Amino acid sequence: MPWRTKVVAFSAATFPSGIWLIARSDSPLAPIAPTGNIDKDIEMVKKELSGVSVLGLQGSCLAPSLYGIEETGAQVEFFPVDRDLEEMIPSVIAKVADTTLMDVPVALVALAKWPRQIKVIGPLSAPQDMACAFSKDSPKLKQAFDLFFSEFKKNGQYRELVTRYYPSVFSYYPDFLVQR
Amino acid sequence: MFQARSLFLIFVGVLLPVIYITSLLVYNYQDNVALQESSIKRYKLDVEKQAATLGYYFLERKYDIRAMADSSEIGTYFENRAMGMSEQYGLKVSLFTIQQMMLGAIKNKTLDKDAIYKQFVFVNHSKKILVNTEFPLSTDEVLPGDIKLDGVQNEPELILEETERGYEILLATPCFLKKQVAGWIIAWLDLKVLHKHFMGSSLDVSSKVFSLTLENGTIIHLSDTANPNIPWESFQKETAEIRNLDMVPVTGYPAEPAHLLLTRIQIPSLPLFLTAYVEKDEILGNLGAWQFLAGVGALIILLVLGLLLFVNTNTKNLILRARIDEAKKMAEKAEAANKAKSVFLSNMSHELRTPLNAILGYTQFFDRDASLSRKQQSGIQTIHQAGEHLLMLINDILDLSKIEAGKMELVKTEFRFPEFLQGIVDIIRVRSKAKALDFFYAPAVSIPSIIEADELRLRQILLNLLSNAIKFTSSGYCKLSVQSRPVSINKVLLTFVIEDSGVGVVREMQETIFDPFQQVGEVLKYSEGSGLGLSISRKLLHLMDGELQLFSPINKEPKPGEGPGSRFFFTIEIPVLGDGAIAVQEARKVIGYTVHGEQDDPKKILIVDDNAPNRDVLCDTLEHLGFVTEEAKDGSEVLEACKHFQPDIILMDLRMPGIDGFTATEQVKGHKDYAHIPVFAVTASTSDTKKLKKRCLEHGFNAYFTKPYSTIELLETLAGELQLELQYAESAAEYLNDLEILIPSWDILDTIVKLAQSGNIDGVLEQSAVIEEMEDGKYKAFADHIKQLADDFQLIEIVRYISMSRGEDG
Repeated sequence: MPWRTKVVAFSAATFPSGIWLIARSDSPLAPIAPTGNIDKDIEMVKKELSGVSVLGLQGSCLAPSLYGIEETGAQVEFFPVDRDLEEMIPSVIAKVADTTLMDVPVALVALAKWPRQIKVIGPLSAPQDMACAFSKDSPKLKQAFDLFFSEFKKNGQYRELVTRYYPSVFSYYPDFLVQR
Repeated sequence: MFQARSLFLIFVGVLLPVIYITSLLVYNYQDNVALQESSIKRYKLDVEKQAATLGYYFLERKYDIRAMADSSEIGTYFENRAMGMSEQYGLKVSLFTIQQMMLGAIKNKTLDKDAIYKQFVFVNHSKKILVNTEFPLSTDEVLPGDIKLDGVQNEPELILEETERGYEILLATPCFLKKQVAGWIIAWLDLKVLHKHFMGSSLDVSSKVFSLTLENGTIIHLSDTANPNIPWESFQKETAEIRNLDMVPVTGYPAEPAHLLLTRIQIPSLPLFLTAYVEKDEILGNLGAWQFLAGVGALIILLVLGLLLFVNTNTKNLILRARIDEAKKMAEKAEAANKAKSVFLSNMSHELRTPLNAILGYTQFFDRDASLSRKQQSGIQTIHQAGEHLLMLINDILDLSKIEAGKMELVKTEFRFPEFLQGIVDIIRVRSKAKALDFFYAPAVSIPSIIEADELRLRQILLNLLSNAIKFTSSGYCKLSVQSRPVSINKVLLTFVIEDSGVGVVREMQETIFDPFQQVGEVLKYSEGSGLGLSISRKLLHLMDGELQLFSPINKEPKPGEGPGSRFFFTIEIPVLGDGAIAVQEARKVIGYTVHGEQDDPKKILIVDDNAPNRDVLCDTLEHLGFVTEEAKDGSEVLEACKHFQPDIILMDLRMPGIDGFTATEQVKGHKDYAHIPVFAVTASTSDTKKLKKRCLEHGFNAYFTKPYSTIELLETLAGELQLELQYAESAAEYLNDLEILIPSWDILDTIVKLAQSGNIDGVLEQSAVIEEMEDGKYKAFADHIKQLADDFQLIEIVRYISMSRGEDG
């Protein structure tokens, strides 16, 4: 987000992400048919949210206010901040809420962990890059990190880690370890 | 005489040897012929055996891809697609999982470490390639046109693909969605493996050259032992004309009379033939007389051995097939037997419980026999405890069997929800106190007054989960939260959360813990219980259209003595009834009583019930309000208790072993000294309430309550009978103090009010966390309540609650 770059210095991108809307498989909400244009796809998802309960997590990338959810007429529910983000999807399965926001890598893992129990309605954000944030006063620290991370990717260790914990991420971001 | 003797000598010396040698030669010739015939038979058996082995190999490959097509990975893909998911948003995960499954098959399906498969492809009904083990996902490729799948509509089929390098052998099978063909899986078999293990030179067979051919004699694959100088393809016509296992000499090769013999046999269940080529001398041989004799003898032995081997192999194949069929039938029988067992058990309920009730009744009876020695009484108590444990096990097993047999039906009734929860809380509070654990109860501010549900089963689920929480927590706390969210004018979603600071559940056990007879933690330490509670709770929730979820660990940094903890939660949709669908929970609680507005001697209440926890709950509640209580374990103790305790009122259970509540009440009402004492009937729910109520009143009971009863109603009826004035909590402070919830200092309360008024939820939560840690957790209950309100975004309620805590109005 542009305003954040004014406040902190970001490292090189570390992981790709984005925000999807997840619902139970028996939910009356239907997944959108992609148009090829991310903004149109986001609009289509938002149009379905009127009267629907959406679970979000304040103070995180899943804060509904970051994506204009309140204006859609959705019933925003806040997940307790002392609980783990990973509980949000089982909470939807347990009918605590109709839907939940979720970042793409966690959603991909959840689709494999709870097959046939959840479905993706569509995107609520454009693709995002995650990175480490450094104080603007610490350029050397940031530089050292960038150097370390570059080596970490080059020697293949990072790919090993990603393959172990998020094996399906390459099916959505095939080039993220190549281009970045 | 001389002539006769000479003739005789000539006959013996010349003719006999000639006759003998001639006959030897004839016999040798006949044996030679027989030997050749045996040799041919043995050769044909070899070829037939080889074809059978190949047939079995292909059959197993068909099972492989059939299993793959029926796998949950394929099913999940089709279901996700049917739900409307797109590849751009989520469907690729299913394809990725399928690709992983196929790559696993390539790696793991081996024959002596040789990979059987080279490649797998999964295509949709339009032949678009969705998954290819050779490439990453999303290539938009379509299957080549020469791979014809239109005929593959039911079972796996063999397909031949002609390439520049020759033929490839493929197996294809359809994938079904709602009985329609929705796609196919295609597997490429590695011919090198086929060749090495079934057609190669390392094989100990009489034939050295094999080929796989079509019916028209076209060679699909030729073993590498074939002499490259021989034009094998030119034998196509002869090959096509061979009937099963006939031997045909090949003419014109190389330029001499036939040196090569061909035979072929169809591979079982395939459109392929195994053709074998052998040099004539290999089969027919060129043996001398003595070698013929020895050769025939050896051939006969080999033939017999070969026959035995063939019969053995054939028999083994038949046995294997029979075993597979038998295993399938046994699986079906086991399933039917399991269901029959469940039906049987659910019908045996009465037969199992009745004798056990008799045992428990008599142990209670003998427990009161003062003439028994201490040792005998100890033995009686042991029998009673074992009997109660057995009853608990039987009840759980019967419940589970009833559910599995499909005989469990929910009985929905209307009942008061806050009182229902309070009843459970009262029981659990006593149990947690016994283990020195803190127990927190955090109902939402707005929960419905009257709901319609299966009260018995909902109580069973909550008591199961809360009892487990206490059982697996040695230090710290247990907590019950109840949240309510309206979904329509007369329906709400109720979410129940049960939390503890106990041993937690490791990730590996988080699925199996819901299976019957699973326990976590140290088995000996936590072995009390049947191990069926979670399984029953989950199945009951399925009947209620709910889903029981578990999350553990919840405390990343537990306090000393505490464990990582667990959180069980579920949500169910419930109809609400009564005046207005939702009522705010009243904070109206009885905190004491007076007699005509004055403090008098405490009133005395005798509680008669054979169930000790029931007595504990009532004693606890009444003593807290200032009553003095005495307990009696059954009807036989009532008169004695009346004599020395002189109660003002008696609360009597009806169903007790020995002297029941009706008889005991008749005795009380028939005694001149005790007839004036009011007696209230307090009994478990029964289906024929009206009839029982009438019977109670006929036996002299003054009032009648069925469990779970409203505590307020019981107290108000009791107050009416004894002419008491109940004192109610007028403010939240008094109520909270009555519940022993301590409030922090006013400046802290001011801070929270300012944060809530400015909408700063994060600030309120941070402040709650600080308050929770203050003074060794003294204000934890208050902090938990504020946190609960903040989680529900009830900022206005936070301000109101705090002002009431300070005794301010509104």
